[in-house]
Amino acid sequence: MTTETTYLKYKAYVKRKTVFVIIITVLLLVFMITGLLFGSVKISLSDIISVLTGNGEKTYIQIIINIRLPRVLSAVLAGAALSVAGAAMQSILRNPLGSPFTLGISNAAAFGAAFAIIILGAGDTHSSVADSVILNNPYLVTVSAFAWSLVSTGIILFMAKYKSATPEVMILTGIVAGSLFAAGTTALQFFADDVELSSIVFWTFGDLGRASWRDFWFLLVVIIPSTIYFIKNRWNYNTLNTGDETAKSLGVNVEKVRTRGMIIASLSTAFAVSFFGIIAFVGLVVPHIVRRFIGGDERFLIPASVLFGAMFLLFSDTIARTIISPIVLPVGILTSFLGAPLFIYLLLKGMKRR
Amino acid sequence: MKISINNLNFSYNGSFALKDINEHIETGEFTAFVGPNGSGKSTLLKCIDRILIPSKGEILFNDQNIKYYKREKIAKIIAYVPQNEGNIYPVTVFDAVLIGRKPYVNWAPSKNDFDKTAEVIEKLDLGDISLNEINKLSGGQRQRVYIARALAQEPKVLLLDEPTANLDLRHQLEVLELLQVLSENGITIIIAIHDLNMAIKFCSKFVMINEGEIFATGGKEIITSGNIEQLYGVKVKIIKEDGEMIIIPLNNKHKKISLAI
Repeated sequence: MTTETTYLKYKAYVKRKTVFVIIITVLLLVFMITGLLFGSVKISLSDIISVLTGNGEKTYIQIIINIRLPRVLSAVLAGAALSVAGAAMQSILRNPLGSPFTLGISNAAAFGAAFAIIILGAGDTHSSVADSVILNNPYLVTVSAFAWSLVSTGIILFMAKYKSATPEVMILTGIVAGSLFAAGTTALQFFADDVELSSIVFWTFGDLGRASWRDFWFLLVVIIPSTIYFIKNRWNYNTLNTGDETAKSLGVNVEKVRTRGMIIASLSTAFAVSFFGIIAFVGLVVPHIVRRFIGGDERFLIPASVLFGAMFLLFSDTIARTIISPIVLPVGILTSFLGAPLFIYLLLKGMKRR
Repeated sequence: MKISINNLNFSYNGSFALKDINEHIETGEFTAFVGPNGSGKSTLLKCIDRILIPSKGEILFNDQNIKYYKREKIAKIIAYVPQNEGNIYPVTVFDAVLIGRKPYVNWAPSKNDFDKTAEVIEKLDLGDISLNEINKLSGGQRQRVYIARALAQEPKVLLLDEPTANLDLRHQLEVLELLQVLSENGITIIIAIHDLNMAIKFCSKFVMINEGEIFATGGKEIITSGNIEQLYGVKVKIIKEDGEMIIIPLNNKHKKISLAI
């Protein structure tokens, strides 16, 4: 075999990964259109096109522009944020268990929400027209959830920076911090009244129904730069896959890459979780599913996780909105229902191949 | 590239792991660091590559102190293959070797990076398995991949920690023969190795390390039964077969482990 043949063989192999990325991009666009099409009010594709081009009926404009479009776009951003953060955490910590949930960030956010509802008095609820519970002061809940998820991140980073913790210790710290916050939430629930309790439970259901344009812009401002950061660092993460010593020998400042990556992954996760509640599974499983298709090369894994995560959450949300319409299920339930069997199937398939 | 180590000290939590190391290694020399477990062989290798930062002393590369070099610059001069390296996530042989181009890549690898990778893969006879997943290869093949990755860095100095550990006899010979060829091509090679017979067969220089200090240094003449007994606490007999030295351990001077059944 010649050098040229080896290179051409590799080029053909890489092309397959590019095709995978193109396919999920196309699927994402299809699901975005589907997300706009489906809902309790039937709107045709031509009506959607006329709304998006600035014409269309007033009712349709209201439904598409103010309800469905922010929801679809927020699903795309939240799915992308959670997945890319999971992919980055798994690479940075060299541990397949790395995810916003295992690192305690989701539990910390839930505690923050409970804290705002009970201690800060954001807990009054009332039934809306759609018969769902609405928080009296959702922004206070979001800010509190965000602040507490930063506390969880801070604990992990403190261990990493000042106690020179290994990735294993960081994961264990995350699990322990997560348990601590879960216990805190349970304690708050114990002292809560009926209304507050229902508010907490409602918040912890990951739900994209809360998405507004303001949430979308907030998310966009955080998620786009963080995704670019991860894509820029894909080579550093590839070297971390070989081990810390090899990475250092290849010129990578391992401690800096690890600390900065963790801060940014935690920040984008904290944003998504504090806006929409706990959307389990996406951050942990999407990178693993993507790896099954295209392997562990971060040059493809990171962008593919962004797209697949966006597609996965959007698909789950569309199902959640339509499966027992007019009742809208929280998307957090669907992500686990869809993701777990898919992941188990892929694991079994992988085992057979071995 | 010649390496000078002057008065090097390294300590873990206040206790010395390396003490007053002075050594000089010539360009293209194939050097073996030998000594008992925990003697400081691996630590010295890591200090040379500045994976560990020495607490005192200096390392000169062609008379220039590498302390003032940026990490990226060091990566273009020295390549290091650690013991027990392993990928957590699946990558192909080609991707694993391509990583060696990291010091040269800014945003994305160039055609030159791909060509260099393919060239090293071919040189090390990995062409047929270039798209195989690295974690599914045999120990010998995997070690060759790691050496290929190190060579993709285009280093002047190659450091390897126990490159033959966990390899069968044939693969041990393959790896050491390859390193010998590289040293003949002007790459300075330093390995930490336990197998003294293999070290004698291939290496031209030996640095005996004990408890963080250099115990003896030189060519094959320092491999004596007396030095080995002092270093390892094991009596050995050295015989010559077809002009080659062979070390045969005789008995263990230390107390034997007794298992009461």
